[in-house]
Amino acid sequence: MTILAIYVAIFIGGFFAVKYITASTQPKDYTSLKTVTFGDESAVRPNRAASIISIVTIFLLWGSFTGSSLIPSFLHAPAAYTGLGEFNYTVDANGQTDDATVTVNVHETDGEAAVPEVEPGDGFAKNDSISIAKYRSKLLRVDANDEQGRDEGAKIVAVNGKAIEPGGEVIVDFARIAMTPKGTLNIVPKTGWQMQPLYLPPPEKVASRLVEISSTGFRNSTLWEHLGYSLFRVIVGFLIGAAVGIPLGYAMGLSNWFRGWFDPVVEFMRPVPPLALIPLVIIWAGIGEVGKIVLLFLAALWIMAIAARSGVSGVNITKVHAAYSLGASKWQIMRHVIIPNSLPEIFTGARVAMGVCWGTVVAAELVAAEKGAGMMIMVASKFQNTDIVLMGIILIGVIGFSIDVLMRWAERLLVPWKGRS
Amino acid sequence: MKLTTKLMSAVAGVALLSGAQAAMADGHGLTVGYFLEWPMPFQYAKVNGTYDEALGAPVTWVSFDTGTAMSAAMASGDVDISVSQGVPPFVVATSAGQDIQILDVAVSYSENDNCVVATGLEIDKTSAAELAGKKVAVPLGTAAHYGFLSQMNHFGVDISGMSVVDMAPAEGAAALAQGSVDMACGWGGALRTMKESGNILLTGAEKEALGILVFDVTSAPAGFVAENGDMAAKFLKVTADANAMWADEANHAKMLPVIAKDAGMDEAATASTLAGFAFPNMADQLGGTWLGGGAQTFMKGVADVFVNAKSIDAALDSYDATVNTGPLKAASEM
Repeated sequence: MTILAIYVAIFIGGFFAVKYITASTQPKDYTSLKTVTFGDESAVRPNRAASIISIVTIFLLWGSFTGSSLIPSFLHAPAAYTGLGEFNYTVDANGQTDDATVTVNVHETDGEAAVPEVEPGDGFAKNDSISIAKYRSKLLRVDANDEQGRDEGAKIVAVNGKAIEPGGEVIVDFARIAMTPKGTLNIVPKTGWQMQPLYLPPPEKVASRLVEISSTGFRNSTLWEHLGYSLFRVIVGFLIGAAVGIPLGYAMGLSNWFRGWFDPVVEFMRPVPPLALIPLVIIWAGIGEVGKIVLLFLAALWIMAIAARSGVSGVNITKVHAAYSLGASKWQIMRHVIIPNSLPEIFTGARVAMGVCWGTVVAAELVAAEKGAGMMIMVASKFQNTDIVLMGIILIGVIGFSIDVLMRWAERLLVPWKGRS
Repeated sequence: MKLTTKLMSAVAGVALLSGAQAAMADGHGLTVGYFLEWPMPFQYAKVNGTYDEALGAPVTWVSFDTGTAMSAAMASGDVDISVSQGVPPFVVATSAGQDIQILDVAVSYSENDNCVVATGLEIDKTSAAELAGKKVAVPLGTAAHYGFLSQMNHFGVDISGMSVVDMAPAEGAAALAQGSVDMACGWGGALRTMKESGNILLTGAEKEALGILVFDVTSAPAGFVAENGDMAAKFLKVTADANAMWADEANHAKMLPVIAKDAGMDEAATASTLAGFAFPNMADQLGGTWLGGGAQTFMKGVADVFVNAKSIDAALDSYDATVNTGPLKAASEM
């Protein structure tokens, strides 16, 4: 919740800061001369400053909440408590009360730390000491060394002067002191806002893992083999899906019979997530490459078919009439009118299909893959190697984004008439 | 009543219901992880509501297919206790820094966890070297994975030359039957299915002789145990009572159908699986063989096997701190 609040604050602050800075340096182009831009999609361009601030913010938050050495320490979120801490407890033994002190050494999680030596002190309640790793908690039977213990009717009634009873707790400056139903103190040092490396490792740990796996590989395969296999599966699955889906979509867009025959199948299969098909695909196609490619083919097929069908449906009828009036044959109408006019829609579908395939390949590799980005993530998660999991996620995201950029570039190159009537 | 009003009412109703459920779940209940197709006496107590009665709170039971998934659920805070988590996934989690503890030994089962080689290969323990370069389905990070690594180590088969694919036991059994893999490792119902398509290399007794122990534990997050020690002790007491009840063969007739149904198995399969299980009593568990030192030493050995196989980065110096006998001692005095 705190992270979200900070993120929202940076978003709002960044918006006003960039708006203020760029107000005087507006480009004098056609868009800038428009008086009404709200609701005009053509007037909306991604604000590069916003993109940069967004990415930097994510990395700053990540570094801040993991205590990363890559960012200055004043930007770090409060860390888990380490060092020596003390609290007092009050014991009531049959009407007699006495105070004693507990010294706690909260140390780093790797390795043990010495238990602080303390003087026992006067009175029947003796001083205690304990060593606890940060992010951990420990039970302390404070009466174990007292002259009158729990069995003799002694019980802890207060911590740092605040009353406590079984099931209750007292917050001291460095920890939460809870009392178990049997009257034992459970010392939980403050964990701060930073995440444990097990749950979220710092960026440099992920980067060092990337370097390590790039050079030494992961489970007998290089990183490039893992990523290459995933890309190969996606491209093959997508291409087969497009090769079948586009003609199918055209047929559905141009023929009543084809539309009637395939519409129920396409509309039935379209909402079924590829993940749901994994068990069937494994049974039918096995656990090898064929099974994975079949799954990706099915992921792309319906999207491409619907995109092609929409492309045909969206062709301006006046263009078709004009072509007929000029004496065009059906094949010429297809080649010169329908295909060029449906290509923008098909490219949009292709971008969506490629994204879905890239997302699905990770799932396809969760079962019985020897190589692949998904397999890498899944195996790492089994051994709680969160740094490898994050590394895999980042690589998948970067590759997915790169694929989308390439698709957009190809669209601009191959369909320059998109958006022009 | 307008459609929008109806929709709003429905949404409000769902929100109230889910809020009430969340409040109930958040109250004093206990969430316990267990395995399907893994019959154990505790399931008799589970079905009869003995746990709810003894704890004075509702117990929510969540099924898993691997011990690694149990670790993840405990890390997220969604599961309070895991019954019959394999020692290897427990070791993997604690080695990675997860703060969970062993509370008791749930079951010992050398015969019910193994690797099966496809019949067509005609490979047995005398020709195990022929497994080099073969394709194996293994649920990584589990007891079956540890058993696989140890057996291959014993036979001198180079694992780096083998093609190891990560598959849950049920999927591995299907792949073995299809001929998609040459060997599959698993436990319980899946292992029985695997044996229909192949043969084992080592029997349970042979594995034990080599020091390849297979036992599961009841585990829980340390923070939960620290603040709910009494609840944990009561839970262990009910489990121990169910085990003691099963130890008396006179009770098998009434317990078996209940356990079988809850495990999702038929009675014959349940009986044969349970025949391969041993449930140490509380006194034995607290002795040197198990939680008095034996388990800790064994865990260190398991961790070292995983480190050598480059599955985990490093092992802890000692696993003594990962065993908490407090609740079990308290249970034995109840």
